[in-house]
Amino acid sequence: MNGSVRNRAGEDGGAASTPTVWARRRAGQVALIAGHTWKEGLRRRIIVVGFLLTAAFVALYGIGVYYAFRDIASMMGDPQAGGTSVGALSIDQNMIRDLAAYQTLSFGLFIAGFLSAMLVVFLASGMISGDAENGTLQTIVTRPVARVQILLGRYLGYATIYLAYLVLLSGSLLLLTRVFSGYAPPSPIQAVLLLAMEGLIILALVSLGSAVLSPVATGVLVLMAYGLAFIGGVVQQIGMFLSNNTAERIGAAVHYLIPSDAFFRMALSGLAPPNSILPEFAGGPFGSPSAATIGQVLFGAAYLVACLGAAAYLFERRDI
Amino acid sequence: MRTTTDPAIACSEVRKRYRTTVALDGVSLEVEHGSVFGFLGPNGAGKSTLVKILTGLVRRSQGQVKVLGGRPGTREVQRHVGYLPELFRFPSWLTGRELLEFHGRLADAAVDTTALLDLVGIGAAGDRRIGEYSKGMQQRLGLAQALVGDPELVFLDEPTSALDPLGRLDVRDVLLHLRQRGMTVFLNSHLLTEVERVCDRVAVIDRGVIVAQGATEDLLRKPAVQIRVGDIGSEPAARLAHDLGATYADGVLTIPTTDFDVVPDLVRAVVAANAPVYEVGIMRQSLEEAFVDLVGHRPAEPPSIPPGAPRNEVDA
Repeated sequence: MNGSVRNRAGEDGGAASTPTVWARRRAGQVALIAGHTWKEGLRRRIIVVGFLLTAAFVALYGIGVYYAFRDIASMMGDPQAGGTSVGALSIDQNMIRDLAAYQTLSFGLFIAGFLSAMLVVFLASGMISGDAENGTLQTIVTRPVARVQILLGRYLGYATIYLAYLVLLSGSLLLLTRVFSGYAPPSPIQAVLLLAMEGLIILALVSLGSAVLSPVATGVLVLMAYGLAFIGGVVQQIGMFLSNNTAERIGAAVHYLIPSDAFFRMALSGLAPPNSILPEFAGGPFGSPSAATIGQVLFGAAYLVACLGAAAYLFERRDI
Repeated sequence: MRTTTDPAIACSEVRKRYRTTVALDGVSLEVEHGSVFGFLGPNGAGKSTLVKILTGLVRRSQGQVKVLGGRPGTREVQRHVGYLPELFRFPSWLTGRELLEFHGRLADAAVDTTALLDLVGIGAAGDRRIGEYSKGMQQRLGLAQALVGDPELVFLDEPTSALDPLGRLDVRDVLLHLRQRGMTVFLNSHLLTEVERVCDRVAVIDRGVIVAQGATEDLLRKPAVQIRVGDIGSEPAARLAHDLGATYADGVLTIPTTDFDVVPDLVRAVVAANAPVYEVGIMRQSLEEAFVDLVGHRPAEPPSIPPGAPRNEVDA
């Protein structure tokens, strides 16, 4: 075809008279495919099963947090039970409580991020190759719909399922921690938004992978990338702790290569107690926060768009 | 969309190379508007590859292709084209009716789902999930899906491979109905009787090359009168054969003709030549025989297409 696949949109002739009609029709088809993706998730009970098991996880987390903070409170002496405390000491007590609550949260959100990423990978790893191999894509691609619309519709469908899941899950964890520990993280909404970016980037990587690779290969690739990014974060953290520039740079480089983990750590910075006297590593392996920067966020967004663009390009040229 | 000068499908010198194989090696053909075109060939000959190029699923390596006057795969062409793939799967979690509605919305076309489901004979199962359909019902639904949006041109790739003989008859009726409505049908098949009965024109492809193309009548039916005269000796036989314009083999004279009114005259001529007549028969060459003539002498497994190549394994 040698370049002749271009210029699809230009050929609509009289069918789309104005740019508004044109845009609305295109957006309508993207939304149609996104809705189709939701229907699949619901009818195949993927969403129900995922939510039920997640509810069990949230319940367990709640029980753990409840007992942990009841015991911490009793160890530190219940102020209402008459145990008076000097001003300075009570600040320290709060600090310990906050740190414990933060560590619990960071662990909880790590699991939340991990579960959501798994959900995304398992749901979406067949979105192009898999559907092409099993024969569901052929009759859709031959409709008057551009392949990029199919890709965007699929992405949008999975992304909204993921976001609904993530918001419910991380919201529950934040709420339970708040209720049982009393700790109020400084910017929980920003944290959830940054955490959401992690999964959206993972999903963009899945889209790119599935444009060329089989579903299993895509799943393996993206989970490996996710793990690599996490290890990169740990290496960076070690480098910062030991003031080792090489380790820190390697870790930072991995975060540019696969920016998912960087968003997890930026999310944590919105949950960590402010003015903490504790060093960065205090959060443990799951919990080293790094301050969110506009540059990082923009880089992540550009990375996501680049992945989708590459996926669209490869999908367009692909034999199905 | 339709231009009076352009045929429904025109392709010339189309080549498709995969990494190590050549699936199509210079295919040229034309399909007129309103005709039912049969595309025949053994498994792995390149039938599905050509259909995928014509529907925009696969990019050709070389050559010119025009479908309904435009480039295949473009939105404006797709709007008027229907397609039933050879190997397909519909979402098991949709009902048949929902599938047709979904495709109607993709095509931005109003769809009378009940009429379509009835047309392909699964009207009663329209509100059941596709996961509960038999293979044959799924194929019927696939045919209905291909007709969503009332296309001008419809590609059917082995539309009866999963159907029993009655199902095939049903599909043939549907095809004849579509032809009556003026729809152009491109039918990929290796089921020769099916093609023979519904197609106006036929092309036969073998190993990526068109080996024959023309009106079904011309290609398939080489009718003849056969007269069994027994062993009458080689010299009288040769003389008789020469006089009648016949060939003689194994005690049988074969006279190619399309005009069967001459049969009594032929018999009289044989009797007049003092040859005995044991049996007289009219023979129409079936498509199967024509097909075997065209591609049968080749090795069963074309060496140019290795085991990894896409190949139709579904057989009747």
